[in-house]
Amino acid sequence: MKTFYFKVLVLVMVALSFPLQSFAFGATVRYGGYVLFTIPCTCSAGTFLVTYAPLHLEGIGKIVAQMVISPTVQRWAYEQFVYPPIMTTWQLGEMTIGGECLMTATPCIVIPAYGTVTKTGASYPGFSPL
Amino acid sequence: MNFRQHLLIFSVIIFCIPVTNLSAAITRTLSIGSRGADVKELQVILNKDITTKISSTGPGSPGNETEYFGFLTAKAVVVFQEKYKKEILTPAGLTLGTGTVGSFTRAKLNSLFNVPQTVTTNNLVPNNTVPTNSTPKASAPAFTYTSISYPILYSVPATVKRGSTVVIYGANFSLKGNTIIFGTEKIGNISSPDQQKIQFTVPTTLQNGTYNVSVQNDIQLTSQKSSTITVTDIQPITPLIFDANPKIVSVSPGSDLRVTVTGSGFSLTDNTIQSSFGSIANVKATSESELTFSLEDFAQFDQVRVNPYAKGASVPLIFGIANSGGSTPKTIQILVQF
Repeated sequence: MKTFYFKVLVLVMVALSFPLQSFAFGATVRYGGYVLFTIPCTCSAGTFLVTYAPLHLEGIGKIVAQMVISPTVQRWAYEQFVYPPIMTTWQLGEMTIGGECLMTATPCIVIPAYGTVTKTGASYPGFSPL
Repeated sequence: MNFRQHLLIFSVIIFCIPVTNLSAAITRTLSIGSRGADVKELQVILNKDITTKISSTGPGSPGNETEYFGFLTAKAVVVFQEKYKKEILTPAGLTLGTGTVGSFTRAKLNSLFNVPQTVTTNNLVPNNTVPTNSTPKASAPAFTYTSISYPILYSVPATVKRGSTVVIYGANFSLKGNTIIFGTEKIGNISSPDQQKIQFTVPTTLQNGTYNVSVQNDIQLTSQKSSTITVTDIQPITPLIFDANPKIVSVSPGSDLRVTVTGSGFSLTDNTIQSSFGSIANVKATSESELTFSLEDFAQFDQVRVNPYAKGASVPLIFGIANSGGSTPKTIQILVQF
């Protein structure tokens, strides 16, 4: 009986040791990326669309993608405050999959974004890790 | 059971008692629709200052704070943000309050009202002008709503047909009781459930012509910058995109950086490309079904193409087209291969 319980316990522990990764809308993913350029989302004041190349996403890999960032984004402690993100800076933070950048038109044109930045910090402009 | 066992049990019990703060810090972004104990905390804090009081009576008033972040709370947050503009709005590049409790607003609230600090970024925490055990600052001179919450118009159709339904996009609209001022005519009692767009029917009594249009909210504040709308008998043709070519634009010295778009409803004289690379205004179409633009017309393109990090990157270019007939309901994507 003890052996049975022990086996069950081992199985449960093994199962729990697998990381549960989900990249559905709303899931938080850690990222780091280089700000290639930034544009204002003119139909949603204060919001910007940032093109990252490269963009490293935890559990996903290295891609090139655009993400939305707003002035209410959380900043890492002791990191630089750079808003809107400026070209040639590196950023580190957290994002959620999915986002929208609204551009002025009638009705506003919705530019879909790969993600939305929820937490960030930045390097000095022009900083190169290479 | 000996003394040591008693001591052990006592210690375990002590450690199990949760340590609670009477005043919890606000640690997340709060906006209209948010619910929770931190919303109630926010209302309590705002009610401590007469200028940012949620309400004098009923839900939200002092002693009747609720856990729901509604329109009145948002209004009070706007007042708070305007009051501490230098520390909250200016660093975020804003001039008017947003009503959303983001990091700057949280930092100011928590610092002013001696709530345990959780925002640790140096830039966010105002300097120590307020001793940690001080009482809240004295209230500022009486606040009047006339300095805030003016409706803002972001997107107004250029041409509309009499009797058609029109949507205006903006900010600071009231939930109910908005008025559209159409030249000398007024269309009243219009609701805006999300406070960001207003839908109304163009009066059939209006003559053809161009009118200044503004929006007034329920506290009698009128958008300060009016826009113009041309009223006609002809239904404007909404532009549509069917295809764009090439699907991959290769950026190399001497390469063709033009993109040809096929669709319908393009203006022969004035289209705007709105895209993930920015905007290009005054794009002429070769016909109502075809137009061409160049990547070089995006303001930042020349700067981006020489950036070594762009080399080898395939960047999505997602775009739509706007003109006097409206805007494309769907965008299209191609790739720019640097």
